[in-house]
Amino acid sequence: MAEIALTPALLILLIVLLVLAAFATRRKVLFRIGARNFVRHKSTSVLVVAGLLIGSSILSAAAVLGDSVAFTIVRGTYESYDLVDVEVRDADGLVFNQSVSDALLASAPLMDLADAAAPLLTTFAAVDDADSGQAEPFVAVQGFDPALDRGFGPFDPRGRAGDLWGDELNATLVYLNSRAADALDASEGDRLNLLLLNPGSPQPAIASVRVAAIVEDSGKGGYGSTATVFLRLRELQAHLGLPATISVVRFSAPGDREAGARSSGPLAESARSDLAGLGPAGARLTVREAKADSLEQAQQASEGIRIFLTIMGSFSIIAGVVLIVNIFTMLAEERKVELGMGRAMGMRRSTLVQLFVFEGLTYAVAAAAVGTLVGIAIGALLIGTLNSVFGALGANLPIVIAPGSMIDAFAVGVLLTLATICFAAYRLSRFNIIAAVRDLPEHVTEHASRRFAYAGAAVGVLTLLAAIASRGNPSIMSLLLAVAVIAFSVPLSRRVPSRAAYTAGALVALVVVLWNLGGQPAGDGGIETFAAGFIGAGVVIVFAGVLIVIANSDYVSAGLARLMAASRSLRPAAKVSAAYPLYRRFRTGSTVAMFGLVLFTIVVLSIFTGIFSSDIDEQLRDQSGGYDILGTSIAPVTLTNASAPSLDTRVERFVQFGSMKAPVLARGRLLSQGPVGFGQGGGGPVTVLGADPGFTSGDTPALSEIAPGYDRASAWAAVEDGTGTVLTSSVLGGGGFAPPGGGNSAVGLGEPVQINGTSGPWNVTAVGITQSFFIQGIIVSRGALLSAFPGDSRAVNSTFFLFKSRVPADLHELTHDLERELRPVGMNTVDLRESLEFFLGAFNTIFLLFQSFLALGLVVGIAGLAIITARNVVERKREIGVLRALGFRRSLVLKSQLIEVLLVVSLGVLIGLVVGIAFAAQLFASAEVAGVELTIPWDRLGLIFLVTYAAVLLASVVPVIRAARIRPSEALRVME
Amino acid sequence: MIAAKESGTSPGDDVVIECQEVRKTYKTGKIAVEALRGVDLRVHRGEVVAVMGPSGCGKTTLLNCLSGLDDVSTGSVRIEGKEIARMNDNQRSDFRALRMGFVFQNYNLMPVLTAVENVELPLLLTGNSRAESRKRAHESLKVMGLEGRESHRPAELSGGEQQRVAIARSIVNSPAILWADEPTGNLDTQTALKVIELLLQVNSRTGQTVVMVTHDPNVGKRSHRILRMDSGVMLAEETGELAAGPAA
Repeated sequence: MAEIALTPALLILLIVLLVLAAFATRRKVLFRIGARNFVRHKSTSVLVVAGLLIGSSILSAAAVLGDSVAFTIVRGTYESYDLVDVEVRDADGLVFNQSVSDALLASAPLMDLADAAAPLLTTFAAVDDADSGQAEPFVAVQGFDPALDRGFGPFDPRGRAGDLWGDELNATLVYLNSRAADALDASEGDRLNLLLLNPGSPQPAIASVRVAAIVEDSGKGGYGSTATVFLRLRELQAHLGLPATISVVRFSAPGDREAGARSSGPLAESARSDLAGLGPAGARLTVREAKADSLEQAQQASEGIRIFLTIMGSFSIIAGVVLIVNIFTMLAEERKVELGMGRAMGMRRSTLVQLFVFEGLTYAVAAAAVGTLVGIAIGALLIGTLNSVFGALGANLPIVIAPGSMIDAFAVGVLLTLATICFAAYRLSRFNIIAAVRDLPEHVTEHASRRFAYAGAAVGVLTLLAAIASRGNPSIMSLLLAVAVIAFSVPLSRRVPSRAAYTAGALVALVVVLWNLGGQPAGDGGIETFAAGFIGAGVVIVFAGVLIVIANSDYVSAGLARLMAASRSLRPAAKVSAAYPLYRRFRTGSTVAMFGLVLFTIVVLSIFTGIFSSDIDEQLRDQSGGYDILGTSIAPVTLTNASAPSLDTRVERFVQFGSMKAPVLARGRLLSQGPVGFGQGGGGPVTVLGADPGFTSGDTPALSEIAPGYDRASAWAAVEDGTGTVLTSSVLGGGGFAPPGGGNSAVGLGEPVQINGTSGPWNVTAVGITQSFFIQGIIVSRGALLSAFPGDSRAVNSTFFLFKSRVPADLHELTHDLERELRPVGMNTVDLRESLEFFLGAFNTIFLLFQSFLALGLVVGIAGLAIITARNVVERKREIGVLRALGFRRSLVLKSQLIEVLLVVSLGVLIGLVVGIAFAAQLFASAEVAGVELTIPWDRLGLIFLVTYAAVLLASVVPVIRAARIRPSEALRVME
Repeated sequence: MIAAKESGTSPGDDVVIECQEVRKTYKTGKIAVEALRGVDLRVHRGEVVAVMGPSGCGKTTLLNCLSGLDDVSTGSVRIEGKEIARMNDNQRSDFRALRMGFVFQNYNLMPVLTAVENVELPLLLTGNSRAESRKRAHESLKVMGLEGRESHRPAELSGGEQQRVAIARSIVNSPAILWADEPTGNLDTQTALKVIELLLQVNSRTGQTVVMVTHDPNVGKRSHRILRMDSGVMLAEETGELAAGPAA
């Protein structure tokens, strides 16, 4: 959990506030005017604060979610490890000789650094409670030494006082933790049959034991955070026929569980040093600061979530920044005469800037404070939704509000708003005094001012140099080039017609960014890099799109007028409503950009959500070849229709796989089966699945990539004839949840993959890649597996199965019955249909959450438009009066205002839609997501647009009606 | 009642504007201000009437009430025989669009539209096609001597030019009545006189009735009748230069 600390943002804010305080002391009058303006125009202040609070709310929502996840991981870490701080394990998770443990425990220097140390043997078992009649196919089993383990504290018996140390355990007495007891419906004294997975042999071991006590899941009973049976070490070794064999040596560093994590470094270092002295016995063993690493991961996860959400929300933050500029532009417009008079009387531009900044400071502080609170509410809402989605998996994120994070979000929010206000104030201080005093419209020049042209040229040169410097990174280079091109179009507009300069510049920028997206090589860098690129490219192409529209606004205006010319009654309204937004190009451009940015992200995210079809049957075909139950057995077995009654009557077809762990090489690199998550794993054994003919010749999982010269059928045929292999994404470092096609540079399709079996190297060609969530490893034919591992019972028989039920509705019952009927081999089943439904539901919910998070920007846009419309009505009161005098009916004024609002929104929607689709299309064409078909979810987008328009109309209806109700004489009296 | 005198110039016999016992009271909180206190007036077709008086005497209020821009508190206003008070807001709007034109002191052109677009707005409002509207707007601007300035926005025109655009806009629909509220208030003397002459040319050419509010005696005298107002009542009526014959 974050603590209150002087973060950089807070430090900068304090410095800025000190500087402003110094200015305020020198210019008390200005400060007083600024503060009074805030109090004087209460309704305006409320609107402005509402518009400005988005940045802080996104930052604090991201912080709440990040802190909550961190808190949960930290809590889980302490529950899982309790006093265990350092673990010594085999690099590939294999068992090793207990002599290593004896040697380490005999090392005085090492033990001086440890409060406790003890060996542990772990495995898994299918457990059957003979008294309750319940069975659980997959339970962790731990064998511990009660004497050595005392340093790790006692077990906490459930429902009775006192401590348990394991002294009463023997060959037939075990402890169960609460998770296991609940799953088995077990009580003390129950008889359990264990079918133990044997780490040293293909054949499982069998043990019959009795429950001596049920212990709480906390402390030692929670180690591993799973359902567990606890045995004496020597008894488990005896059951497995593995004397003097262990899986891990655990150490506790000095101090309680928090202090231990902080002081585990020297202990781990000493253990490494001792292991190095053990020679070959310690060569394959690794030392891990398990608790400290996990706590660090918590910190990283928290930061990752915070950064990711902030990046995803940055479109909304940018939209908020644009809104701030708009709001201040309008405030200045409203006070044009008084500001003009101030300048006429000798007020400097810098004084005007200070005046705005002082006023803005009050808005910024108020908005950041309210925004932080709103963010907490949004964070709580996100957590509530996540809990409801993942509640079935036992997820229960608490709502953690860390004061330090909130203060940081507040500080960044104030700084962001203040920086934008400073920019807006500088821009607004540059007006024509005469025009302001006489309240005349500013003369709009077609060409950029000399100062603006110089600024454009300077930005162009700087970004061009930066682009050259970053030529090693094509994404960054293309973005910088695009910015440079747009910047250079400013000075160019003084030489050639501005329409041509800006349109050409924006088009080139668009092409550069999109072309780079399409040609992007498969890269690494993770989701944050992707999101950052998404933001950069998104912002540039949306602004380029807006620039093109605004540079050609007269055509847009004429087009709209022509479009509405058919309606006699709308003609005059169209004339006025198209002219206003396109006359005030900056204001309109920024509002369009605000909508465009938000809609762009929503469009892109909607398209990506559509990658996964919600058709479960189609998904099952792609993921498992249409099989709907996955089974794994502890004992290798060859099933026949006679093996279990359900196989014969309720299973339409089934396929079985031999499964071996083996070193596998591709391009000379040892592959590994990556953990769930992103990034390449190291080298290590890979699961090699030998499929029976039925699997490769029937429906097969979809292939996201296929080697040249193959198609789906011929690729699977190559697997069948023993020459080919299909790799799953877990071998490519993605663990089954990677973005399609990501990170497979170690495996060249069409190239040989070497399986190092017991008979020597066996080469097969990599013919395809499947993104199956359920099949993990590399798939070869049964024949190929047998050739690599002749005579091995795990190759001859099977431990991995896929079943297809005759009646989908029977799935739930069937999984239970198969487990029951095949209990002798320790069959564990997974309902793939249910898993897929859960996964797709969760995936869609998470994307929906992101979309909702992004939609905050839409709220900003809509609120901004309502504010702009409201201010427009005030600002244009006289023009509305003139229109009424000319004969505009109230309804026509209303229509004219509405058309104007809808025009601005439509331009934003159109730009967001077009560049969003172009962006997604280019990304789909790139290697990043090769092989996935671009589908535009028009129904979802249509709904989003409909909601957007409805919300815009709802938000604008009050000011628009107010405009229509303006009495002409009253409006004309404003200036007469 | 103050009635139009037969002057021998353009005014006809029929009465286009007739008001009786018009009163207008503004209420601001508990304070009621009586801006018009029983005004009677008749204006004939083709007549140019100048309403003069000190600031705050109720000139603009009278013009607003007569043109239907504002409601009267009591009394009757009839334009071309139609009782304005009986019209609803839409009828009044349509009536203004078809039968009235306005010229204001601050020109009140739409800043976002070009000169020609400003002028064509009343035509579009009355259902004319875009092509027809554009053609007539060009003609109207030509009459005002603004050829070549059609595509300029108001900010790119001088005050006199803007007022001429405003006059072009007010007459483009050939309205029966042209209301002018301090039409020369923002102009120098020379430009003001040119603008007034343009208004009078329109009057003599089309026979439109012109009612203008002004406090400039040089402008006021260029009329058939000058009505003197103070404190919300008509005090006196004088004969303008036009009553004596063609403009001097």
